[in-house]
Amino acid sequence: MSAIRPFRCFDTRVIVVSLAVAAWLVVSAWVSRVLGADSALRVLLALSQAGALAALVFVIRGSIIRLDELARQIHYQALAVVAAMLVTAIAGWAFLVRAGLPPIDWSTYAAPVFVLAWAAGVILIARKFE
Amino acid sequence: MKNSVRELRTVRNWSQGDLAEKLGVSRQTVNAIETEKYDPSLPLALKIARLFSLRVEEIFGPAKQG
Repeated sequence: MSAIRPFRCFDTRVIVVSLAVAAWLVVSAWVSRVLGADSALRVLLALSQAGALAALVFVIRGSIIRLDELARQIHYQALAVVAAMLVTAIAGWAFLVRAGLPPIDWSTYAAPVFVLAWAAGVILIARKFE
Repeated sequence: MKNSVRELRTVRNWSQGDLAEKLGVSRQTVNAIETEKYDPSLPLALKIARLFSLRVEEIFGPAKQG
């Protein structure tokens, strides 16, 4: 038995950056509420939120690239499956909304669902190689 | 894909950890290759061949059909 540790990429650096991005998203969302709806500063804050998320993706990508090739392969497979499933779920739900089901605010749920499904995917795919 | 990495390693009295260190990968990757659950990338296959002074096709071959 040989346990693969694909989560090694989530090192201190990634965790610190993730927490910093999360803190910025919370603070900027709070500041954004105080500002007027058409405020230019609110647009800037929204852009900075998107930029912070992009920076986080970039840092995580760099960390995955430094893994050894099997662990990297596991992440790539999990990401591909989860991305395809999430796109299918969002598109599929749109059909159901047209049929009368309540709409889901994917802008709120897509990121956490993606992260949880990615983690589950990594665990399941890693078992294939043990 | 079949391979003879385990045989080549044990003949040299190397542990999986030793081989992993020489190849710059994790021991888990070596184990997955030896148990034929993972086919290495071409660069890693070439590295393995170079380490054992063999050609890639002398170490790796197609799995038996059926």
